[in-house]
Amino acid sequence: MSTPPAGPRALAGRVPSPFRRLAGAFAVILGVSVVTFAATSALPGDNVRARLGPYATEQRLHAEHVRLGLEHPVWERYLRWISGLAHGDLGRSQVNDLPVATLLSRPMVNSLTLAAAALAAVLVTGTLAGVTAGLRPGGAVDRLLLLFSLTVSAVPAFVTGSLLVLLFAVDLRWLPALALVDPTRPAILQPRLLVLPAAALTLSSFAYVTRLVRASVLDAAAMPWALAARLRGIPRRRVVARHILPAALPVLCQAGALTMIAMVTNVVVVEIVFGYPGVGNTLQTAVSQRDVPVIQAVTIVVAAFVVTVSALADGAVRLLLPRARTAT
Amino acid sequence: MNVALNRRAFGRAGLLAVGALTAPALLAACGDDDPAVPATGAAGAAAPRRGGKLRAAFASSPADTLDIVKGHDVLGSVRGLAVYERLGDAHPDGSVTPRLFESLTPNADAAVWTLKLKPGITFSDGKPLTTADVLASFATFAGTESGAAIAAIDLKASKATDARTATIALTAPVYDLPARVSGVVLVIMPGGRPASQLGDVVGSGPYEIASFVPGQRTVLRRRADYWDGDTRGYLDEIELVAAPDAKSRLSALRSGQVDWADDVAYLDASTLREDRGVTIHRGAAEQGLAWFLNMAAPPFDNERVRQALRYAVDREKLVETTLFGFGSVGNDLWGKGLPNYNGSIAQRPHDPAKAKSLLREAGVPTPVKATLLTSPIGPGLVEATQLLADQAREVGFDIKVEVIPPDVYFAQPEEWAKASGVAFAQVGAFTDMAPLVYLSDGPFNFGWRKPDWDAGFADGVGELDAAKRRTTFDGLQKQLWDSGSDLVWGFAPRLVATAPSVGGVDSSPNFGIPDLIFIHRTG
Repeated sequence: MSTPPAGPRALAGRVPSPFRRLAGAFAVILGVSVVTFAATSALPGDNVRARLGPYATEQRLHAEHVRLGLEHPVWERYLRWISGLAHGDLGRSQVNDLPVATLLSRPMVNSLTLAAAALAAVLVTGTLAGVTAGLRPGGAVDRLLLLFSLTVSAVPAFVTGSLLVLLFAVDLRWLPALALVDPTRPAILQPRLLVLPAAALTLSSFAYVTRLVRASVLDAAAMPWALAARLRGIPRRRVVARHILPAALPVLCQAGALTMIAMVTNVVVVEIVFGYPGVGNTLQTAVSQRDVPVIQAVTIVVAAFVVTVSALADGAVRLLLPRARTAT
Repeated sequence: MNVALNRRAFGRAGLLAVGALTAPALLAACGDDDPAVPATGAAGAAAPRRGGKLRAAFASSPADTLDIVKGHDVLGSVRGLAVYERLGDAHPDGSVTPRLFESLTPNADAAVWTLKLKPGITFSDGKPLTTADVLASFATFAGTESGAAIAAIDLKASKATDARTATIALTAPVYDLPARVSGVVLVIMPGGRPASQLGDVVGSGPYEIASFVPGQRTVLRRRADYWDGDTRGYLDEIELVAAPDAKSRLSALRSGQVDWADDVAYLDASTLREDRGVTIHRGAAEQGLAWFLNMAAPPFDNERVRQALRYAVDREKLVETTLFGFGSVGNDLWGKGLPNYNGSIAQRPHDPAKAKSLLREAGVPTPVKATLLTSPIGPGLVEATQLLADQAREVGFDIKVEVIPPDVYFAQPEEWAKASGVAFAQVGAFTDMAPLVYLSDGPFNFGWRKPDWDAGFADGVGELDAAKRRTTFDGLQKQLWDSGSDLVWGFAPRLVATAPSVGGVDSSPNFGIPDLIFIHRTG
């Protein structure tokens, strides 16, 4: 069977002080900004030409270069961009000149809604499955869950999404194939549209959460206090609720954080499959149109998100594991 | 999968660079299931039913804008054509149904045209549409990609005589001005000013915008006061929804969520041929699939080597393998099925023996080394190029295939000149392709520089006599067939899938961007 993941104690040892954490996070985001800017600047060919197409006249190309300030050297453009960023200015779309913040705000909320729904679903189902499997390792349920979770984790998210569409939208017609979110209302109030994309995301992380929880339940169940409780004749359900689950909670926090980070990739894929109006779709079109400010903004925001989520998860682990507070 | 290709890439009706997401929409006109309907469009058949709603899924992006001049979005262009109007409706056969104009007549040498507008055309704000609006709109489009079609118009020398009459002066004679002014998105805006705010959008078309969210959805509502309401604008409401992925659009149609899935893939469409719930419509104007062969450098500077490759390729195999039964073979000339195509030349066969002997005659050492660039900017281009390399190896070519991502393909034209050949996909009639590829100053001229040919082309374009023009254009194309730079191997239609209850798709008069104002409900 799989090796159990790092236990709570191992995690606690890695939790740095809040200050170091913050400085580290800042450095990561700054690093990402440099890499992103360099990468988008080094894309082969001319972004303006790529966007305007093969028939654009030289005058038109030149005018666009001047309008976008592309005749300045890369480092100068980077400094201008990063100083704008420091003032909360993400720049303007090169395609339609709208502020990037305006372009991204609605998709951002939509993506967060979708990811939150999927995260909640995967934590609940994954925990239930993990506990069930972990309490009777090697049992029929355990093996069935293992088979199922290995299968779904082996299938890429876009395939899972497409299969869900074929089954529940095209064949059964229970749910819509396209997530045509009504932009006048929050996405969370349109659950019918969220079900399939959220299910696709849930399935993509289900195996990971299940196996993590299962392993930590196995760990906790083998701990002396859990054994002692059972030997004292305390009902199994209470042992699970009082002893095993709390011990698994820090792992669940970490699992939640890593799942959210893994979801960043899958959200992009799933959004495209369902036409969901989120950051993934925005990023995809921005890449195809070479809308560099939008690509950069999405990358930075996602980097900040990932860093924040892992910091929060570490914080939560520290709260849940008293020893970790003194571990630094 | 997405190309930042500009849908206005080419100037006139039906001439569109074809890629994926931001690339153009090309729609059926006079298609397969309703060939009897002539150029008069949907109104030519039994009167279409009024009323009802259409929900249609198109490619779009958050960069979608109401500004029809700046916009580069399929959904946005469809919206623009429902709200604004062009002077006429152009058809793949070259005919034009007048929309706003009563007449557009040339003088003896086709250098000056007289435009007479229909009476009583009004914008949605009640103001009349005048020749001043027409000329101002031309001026707005001049210099943009859409304006290439009307580049021959001398705006300074053109004058509005009165509200309904104008003289349009040209810098060089053009026989098909009505088609050119009816193309792409050359719409007439009040004062020629594009609007970018919802409240400011004022057009003369049958629909007005009820709501608009860029990159997501547009709702169009029929105008009760449309100036010509009997012949267009049958649906009460059209909802345009954004679905960037072709597969998702088709799934939405199959699940009953939308009635129209724009631009679907051949493989997906081929699995639905027997499906009664989905009707596949083939666009009448098909895109040519080709390789430009670089005549400016070895090995294709040698005419016999070019001809050898043209005989070495098994076009049937390429079409069969890459287009899933939706395409047909090409005969090294652009614009099959479009005006001025020379269809009298026999199809070039697959003849490896002839290819080998041509290479021997050419006296070049074999294997003949060549590099071909390709990119998924059109159906089957990458696969076809790889197949070509295999087929050509047997006759003595050693072709290296370089696959370039679509977003990079058009971003580095300097790479094109270094290659021996470049894969390309394009909807364009002979007269559209010539200024780009064959005229000496064309931006994609790969070495076909012949002053006599250029002069002949100018004569043909300015020739009002159809028979003489045909003779001229046929002769010019024969030269290209004999020794030109292009290997046009196939033609592929753009596919639209709809619910069976959607009518008027195949007889819709336009084939550039889907024009939904002729669409109606049949059930």
